[in-house]
Amino acid sequence: MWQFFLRRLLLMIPIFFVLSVIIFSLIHIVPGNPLDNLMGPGMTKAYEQEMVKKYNLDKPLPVQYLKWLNNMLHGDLGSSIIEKRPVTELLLHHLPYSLSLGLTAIALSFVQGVSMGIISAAAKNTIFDHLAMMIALFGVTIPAFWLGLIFILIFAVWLNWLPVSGSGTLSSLILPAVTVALGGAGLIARVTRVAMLEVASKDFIVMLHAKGLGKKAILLKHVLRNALIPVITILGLRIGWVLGGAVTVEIVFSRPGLGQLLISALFRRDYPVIQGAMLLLAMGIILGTFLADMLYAFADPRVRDQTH
Amino acid sequence: MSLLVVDNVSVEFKTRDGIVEPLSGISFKIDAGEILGLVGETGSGKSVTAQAIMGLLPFLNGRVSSGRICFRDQDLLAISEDQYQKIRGNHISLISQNPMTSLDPVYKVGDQIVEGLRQHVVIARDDAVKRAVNVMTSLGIPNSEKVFFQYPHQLSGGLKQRIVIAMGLCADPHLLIADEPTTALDVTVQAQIVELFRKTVAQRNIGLIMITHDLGVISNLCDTVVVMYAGHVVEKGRVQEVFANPMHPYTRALLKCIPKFGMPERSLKAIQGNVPSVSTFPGGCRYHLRCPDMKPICMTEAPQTLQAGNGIEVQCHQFGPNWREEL
Amino acid sequence: MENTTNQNQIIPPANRWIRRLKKLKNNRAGVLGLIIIAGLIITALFADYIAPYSYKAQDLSLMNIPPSMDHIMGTDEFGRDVFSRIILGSRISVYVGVVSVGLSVLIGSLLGALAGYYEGWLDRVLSTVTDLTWSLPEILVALLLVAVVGAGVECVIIAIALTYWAQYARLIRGQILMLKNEIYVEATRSLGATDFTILFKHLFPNAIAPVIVAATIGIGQAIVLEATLGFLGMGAQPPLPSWGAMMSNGTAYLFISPWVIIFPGLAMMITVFGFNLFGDVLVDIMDIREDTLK
Repeated sequence: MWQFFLRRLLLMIPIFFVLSVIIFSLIHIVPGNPLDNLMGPGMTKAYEQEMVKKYNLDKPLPVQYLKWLNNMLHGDLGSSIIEKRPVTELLLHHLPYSLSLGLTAIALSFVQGVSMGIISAAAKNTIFDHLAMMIALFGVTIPAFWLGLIFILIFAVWLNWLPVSGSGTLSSLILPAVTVALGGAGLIARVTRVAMLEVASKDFIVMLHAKGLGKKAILLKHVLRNALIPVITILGLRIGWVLGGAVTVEIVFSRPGLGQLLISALFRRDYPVIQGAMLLLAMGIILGTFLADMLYAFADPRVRDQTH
Repeated sequence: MSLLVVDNVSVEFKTRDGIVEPLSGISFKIDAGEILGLVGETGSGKSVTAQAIMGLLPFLNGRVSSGRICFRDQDLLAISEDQYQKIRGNHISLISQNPMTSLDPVYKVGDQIVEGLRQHVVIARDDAVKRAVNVMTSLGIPNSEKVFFQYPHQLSGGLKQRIVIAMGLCADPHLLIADEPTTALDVTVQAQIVELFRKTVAQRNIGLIMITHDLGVISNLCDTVVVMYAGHVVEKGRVQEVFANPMHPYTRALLKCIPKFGMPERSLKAIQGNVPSVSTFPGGCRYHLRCPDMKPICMTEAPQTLQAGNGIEVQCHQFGPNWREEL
Repeated sequence: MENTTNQNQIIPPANRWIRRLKKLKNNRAGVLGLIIIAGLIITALFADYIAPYSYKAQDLSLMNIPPSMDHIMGTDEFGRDVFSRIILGSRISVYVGVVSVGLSVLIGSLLGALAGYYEGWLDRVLSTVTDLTWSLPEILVALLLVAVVGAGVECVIIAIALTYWAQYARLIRGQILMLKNEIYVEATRSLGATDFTILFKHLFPNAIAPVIVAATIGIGQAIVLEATLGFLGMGAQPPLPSWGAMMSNGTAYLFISPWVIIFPGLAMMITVFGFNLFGDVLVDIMDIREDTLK
């Protein structure tokens, strides 16, 4: 187990470098001179000099990359062109809103998705199954921003139960979290159902019946336990959603998260901010994947003994 | 009172292509202290018989469509699922056919033995662990205490097979059904396990149904033998009688397939053809396509079960009243 | 018992399609999905004849009118008929959905087939890229691509195609990897067939079924992605009525005229639902194992 942990931990390093190269290239892929992209309207010649120096635009690309990497590792991601504040500061300001929303949403979607999957699989081909799968299908297909607007309309305007928007209080987290969670829950419910039915058809399940175990014990202790393995895999693959998937929902609920920061930076072509936000998202995804791998190994003893 | 009576039992399965009947009107019984061998090729319905007795068919899209299964005078087909759960793994244990797929991959094998035990017996966990380790050791598992804490994928096929056997023996069953329990083991271990079965049956005075296609095991271990072919019992009787004087052409053919020490290699016989699959069981006698003694009546009429003088029951037209008049 | 004997025989391809059609006919969800898709396409084709009003006719005296007999879905902040705009908007949705998925299937299946057939470095690069796009939220990928290629319908199509191609590549790669070891491939090769013939004449047609299913569901996803980009102001530019842009404009009037948001959303939901229903049924009638689609 420790060996596995260590191997995965070390694996994060090359992935991080690959991603940093991709993100670094971003500013150079965009059509036009990177300098144009770094310049806002009405910038002075002196500022241009400063930018050239700061981003080492007069040096060859590999040198630029290494300088950028070095700065980045020291916590310096440059400054926003528009807001004139260090990118690190901006990111740290917006991160908590995304993190709280993302973590709540993923927890919600896991609980809701798995319970819907259990009901569906346990009551296969009954009205409950069809109902749960219908809800799951809607969850997957409804665009999150529209659902968010409808939720605002119903719960904040017509029923007046919850605040329309905002970010400070716990109650302002409920609507956006449920909105984001519903899509994930639909996916998880479908995966859980398929996985449970697959496990339920395995030979060892018949043997558990032969041991005299009750249906409930078999379903929860064995079928579900085995079915969670693919569910965790899917969760791990989609862990990027924790930080970045809620862009539209953040906008609908005026939540100042990373998504909103990224969108406004995209619109204003504020490249240092785009690079910084992307880097943070990438790190979040790498870390999330690592955590999911650990969880996966915890859930499946066969994975722990893999030797590559 | 017989321990178990299987009386004229037929089994149906629902499949994508309709209903199939892998078991048609089979009967046999077994007493306490008796070892019964159930023999036949793959597809003859041996495992389905075990599933029917264990009440596992509902979980496999199947059901007993007619007949009676009585365990210690209790009609198993009439009791509720809850009552059945108290019998399964407790009074009747099944040792499954395929050890590779019979264990839950995510739990330690020891815990899986203890799980079944504690389902039926009120016993502290520590005591249950001790008991499980003892049974494991008695089955010739080296380092039982260590193996107890390992996962199925970490064990060899032979070890897994013995874990599955331990699961069956750990509770105190009155009837043990062992579905080809020795296939994955090498010969020396096989002999060991067979010996252990013999001892267990004698000590605990329980019944054992040994499902196998290994006639060596049958002649070694069993008191009675039931020969199955394509969902029918074609012959049954005391092992000595059947082996000394096999009546059904299929039994005779089977016995010719056993290699004997010192016999020239070429005289080893194989039965021509294969067991038909369940959807292609032929009409008449189901063996007629492969039978060397086939006559027209075999194609059209299913043979009745006939009592032979030496306690053997056989299902073959040869021993019927009209055989000589046939062409 | 005898009548079940001939059911295990191999079914010739022509009969296979007839059997699939029969299976579809008996599947109510599939028929419903098909009706929704057909309805959408007809609406998009004949939008000009179906829409009761012009999509851009403004009438400031009719601003933000709730649904009524004249305007069954109400009017927006410029007094334009919401129903007519939804009808016209279906054009952009269908256009973007079909073309972008078509493009990404083309790119994806070509690269995926090559990677699966030759393996080696191409396969490794492809696997890395597909894994990466899998772990990134698709809206972020699409947003970045739009940032690079620019806004507007054509740019959105390119962005969506580039967001989705990897999943089709992954699918077809897996299929080719599996199929290329079959005996008939060896047989054709020994008859002197080139790699090109084997790959595109023999393997490809057999590997394409799961891609068709994924693409059906993918059109629905692409329509949502287009609307989401439109909602963020990066899709079709005004006055073209795209569903996403309609809802984006509507947010400012959410409390005054919620129908401007509710109806385009419902239209989109029904559309996506139709593609999903039909796709799920395709999995069933084309005898595709569900785990190949993951």
